[in-house]
Amino acid sequence: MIRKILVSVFTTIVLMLSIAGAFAGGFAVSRAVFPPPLPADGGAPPEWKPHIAIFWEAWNYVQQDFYKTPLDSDTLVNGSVSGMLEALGDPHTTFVDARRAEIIRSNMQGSFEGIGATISMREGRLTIVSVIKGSPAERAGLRPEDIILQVDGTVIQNMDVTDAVMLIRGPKGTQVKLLILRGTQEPFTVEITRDTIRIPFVEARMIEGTKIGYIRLNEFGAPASSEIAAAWREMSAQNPTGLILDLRNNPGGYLPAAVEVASQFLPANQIVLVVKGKKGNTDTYRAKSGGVATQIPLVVLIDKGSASASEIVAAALKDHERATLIGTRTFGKGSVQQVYTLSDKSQLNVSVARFFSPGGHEIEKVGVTPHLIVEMTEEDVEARRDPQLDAAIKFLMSK
Amino acid sequence: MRTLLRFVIGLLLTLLVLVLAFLAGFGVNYYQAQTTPRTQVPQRFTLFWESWRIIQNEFYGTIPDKPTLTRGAMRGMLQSLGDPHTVLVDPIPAKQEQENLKGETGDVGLNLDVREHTLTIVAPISGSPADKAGLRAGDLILKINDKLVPFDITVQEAHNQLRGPIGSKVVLNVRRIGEPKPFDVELTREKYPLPTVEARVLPGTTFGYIKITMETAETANEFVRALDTLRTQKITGLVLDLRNNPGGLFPDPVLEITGHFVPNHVVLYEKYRDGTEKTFHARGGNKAAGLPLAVLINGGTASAAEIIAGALKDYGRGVLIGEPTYGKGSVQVIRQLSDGSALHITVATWYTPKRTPLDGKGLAPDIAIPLTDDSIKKKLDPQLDRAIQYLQKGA
Repeated sequence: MIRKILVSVFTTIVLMLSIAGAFAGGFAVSRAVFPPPLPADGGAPPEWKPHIAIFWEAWNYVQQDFYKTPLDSDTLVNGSVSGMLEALGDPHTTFVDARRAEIIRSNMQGSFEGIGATISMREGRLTIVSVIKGSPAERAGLRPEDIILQVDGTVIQNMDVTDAVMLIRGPKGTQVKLLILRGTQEPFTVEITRDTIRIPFVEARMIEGTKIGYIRLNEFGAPASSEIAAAWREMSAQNPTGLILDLRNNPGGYLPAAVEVASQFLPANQIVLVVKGKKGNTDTYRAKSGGVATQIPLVVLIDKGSASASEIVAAALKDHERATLIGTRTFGKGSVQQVYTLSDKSQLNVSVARFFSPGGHEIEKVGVTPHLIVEMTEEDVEARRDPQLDAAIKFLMSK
Repeated sequence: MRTLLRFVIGLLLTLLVLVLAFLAGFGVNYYQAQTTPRTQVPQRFTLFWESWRIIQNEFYGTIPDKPTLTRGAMRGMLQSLGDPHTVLVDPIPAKQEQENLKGETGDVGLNLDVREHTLTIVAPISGSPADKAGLRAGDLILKINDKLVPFDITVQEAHNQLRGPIGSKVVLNVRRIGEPKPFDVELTREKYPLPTVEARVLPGTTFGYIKITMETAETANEFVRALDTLRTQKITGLVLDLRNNPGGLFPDPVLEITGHFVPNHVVLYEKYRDGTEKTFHARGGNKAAGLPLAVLINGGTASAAEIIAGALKDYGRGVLIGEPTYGKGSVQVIRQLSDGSALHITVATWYTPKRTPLDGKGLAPDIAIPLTDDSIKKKLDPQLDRAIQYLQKGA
């Protein structure tokens, strides 16, 4: 009898627990499918609550009144984050949404899977700016100024350029169909098989009729330093007596790439730059061993488009008297951005530190001044003259 | 056998109870999620706080106070809508705006817009200090009194800076397409508003000429007086000059003026996002009955002036001569926020009687005649000449 009662009590308890469990399970599943809305303050940290209320006032009016519907709340949230960052007054602290972030990441790695055409939106039309050598786009006969009307049947007009890029890129081996408008011809279709595209960061050659090597670096992507070393090895067969490193219009890139590039020209352990963080902490970056061109007479070409990592390299080579700088004063961007990936894969670039040249010179707003100032005028550009390069050649020849 | 049956039934009942409990749990959350009274805050807004924490911990520079950051977030949110007329007006200028309406304030007479983050002249108001100083539609204002114009300036803020006591001076640094360098222009503020209608008989013709510089509460009366005077001089045709007319008051002057050409016709549809439409009809009047009409337009013809031009074109009442109009055809509502700032939100867009949208593209002229720098220098007006030719030949 007692045993029977025990059993039924036990059964009842198990049953009730199971019911409670099932209820909790149902609640949890439902919560995952229909997440509860954030509280009316948007989940603000306590210290923000009195300040953010006005934002939601504006938000509600926009939802209620704005003439275009439906509103895309993702875009509004992105805009809000961007706007908050803009209020910091630092042009280098920025928000990059997830899709753009992915494109930037793959570009800076130096390779992606696509067709290999640089495109830009001009007057609402997707226009090919240039075609990478040896790419599927080049093999398919695409040319600069071609207009892409459709990608796989999707009409491109007035589309965001990022959306267009995402349509054209895709896994290696797959095909993409482009409807192309060229000049006054009837639009025609081109079918292209996507491949791995390498974006070269370096262009190198010997200056004709001289023993001077020329290396141009477009951007400090991850493989920049190894591309420079490879270019150098190739030209060293011709025993160059001087080298020109062209950093004009190079907007910068990764900080480690700057240190690696400088290391190609400096003896090991020389200071490349000093970084000062917001709490006054400093980090000193030194040249790595194994530089390939630490001895050869060197000219670095700079101009107002040389920024950030370009300025690090130019300033380090200047302070160590390793190179002669020719051109015009550089841009003057002396802050370091840390890249944070947010939970939805979007990206936050935050200025976290200032950097200084080995000689302790500030770069921010000051820039790097060349030893020899040579201007490049509009007329020079139009006439395809390059007085800065000419000055560099002349300088190296006279040594 | 019976024991087995009882066991199976018991098991099924238990399962049923469990399923019901599961559904009950599911339902309770669903009900909560759907009925919680709320601001429609998307889950993804947590991204904002995620970003804030990183900034707070890592940002190198000085972090402004939270009201400033909040205002930045509001501006950014509005910017992401991609509509240049949906903007936030800060509390201080909003207050100034009201005070400006009271006192003896002078102005330089510019109609402005912000395009691509640049303060742009839509049109100088005819006869105003800006007009006399030679400022033109399309000029970009880079500095006001030697201070750089911030990229996020609103039209209201710009007007507040341009206004001031009558007789005081303001210096604008202006960039003009085609000029190599920006240049300074000094303007003396004058009393505002100015008369909005000018009229005369065109010399050597029997045609009247009426220029409307903008639409104010007085404009319709001025227009009627001008038209009456011209008709006593037995004019046989009319040139209506709406060039550099940035608009102004709507709807009364617009409906009245249009009513002297196409009485009682539909002038405009105002379309809201839920698909509802408000229809505006021209008034009676018809004082221009029987007069052939040429209408001059250009890139400075905006808003209320485009409505008049659009209706006259759609009914074939007048021929449009000149250059495409500006394309400002939207309606803003002003929402006061609790901190004293104001939100201007675009709530509707305008369509001509034939349902051509006025917002964005602007009206195309029937006869396209550009006004070149050369003809401005030589003080020629090929657009007006073409209008006269049209009235003489009917083509």
